[in-house]
Amino acid sequence: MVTLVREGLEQFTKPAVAEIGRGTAARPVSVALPKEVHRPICPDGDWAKALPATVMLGFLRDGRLRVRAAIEVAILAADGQIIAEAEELNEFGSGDNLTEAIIDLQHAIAELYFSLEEDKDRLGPGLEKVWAVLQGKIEKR
Amino acid sequence: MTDREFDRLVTKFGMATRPGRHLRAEFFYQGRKIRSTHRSHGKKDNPFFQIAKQLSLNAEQLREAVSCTLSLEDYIVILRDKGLIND
Repeated sequence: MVTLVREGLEQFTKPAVAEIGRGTAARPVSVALPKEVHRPICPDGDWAKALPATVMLGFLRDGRLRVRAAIEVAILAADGQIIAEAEELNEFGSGDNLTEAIIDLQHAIAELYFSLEEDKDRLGPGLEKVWAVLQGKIEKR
Repeated sequence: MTDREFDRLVTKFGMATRPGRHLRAEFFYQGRKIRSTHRSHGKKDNPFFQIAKQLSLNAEQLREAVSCTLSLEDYIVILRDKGLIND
């Protein structure tokens, strides 16, 4: 069991390596944490509790596009995956961790932009609204 | 939702696809692009509820669509009822 201590230059102790299955001869390891270090503690193993509820997305991984107004992204955990969802665009990304999910969403938004732009004169009412939001949030460089 | 289930849905609803980092699937009706969704390549599971939301279906309707009890005609009725199709 790893005990994490939030306050001060106190120590947390990792288990003897034997506890995690690497043998029996290892010594316990002590690591000093600086005072400002704060790590989310999930004693019940529910790592999803350590996720932020939302993040603001300020760029896309596409050199052709620039974000001019940050996009709010909800972070969810479901079925062992992390899902990053931009509700105002009805778009999502997913991955094994938060970074993967956000990168996936950035690509999905860029793809959505070009897909809607291509058919901007023949969008149904739902996608017309999404296109209007996209134009307010994103511009071409 | 598995890739296979997603692809079955794409075929069933006659959606247009465009390749890329994701496989983007778009539903057209009478020449208008009505709904758009995507799946990743090579992932075990694609987020079910998010795909349902993008298609303007609830989870139960998406399950029915995948299991073949919700037809293309049913889907068009759902979209029309939600004001997403203007005839």
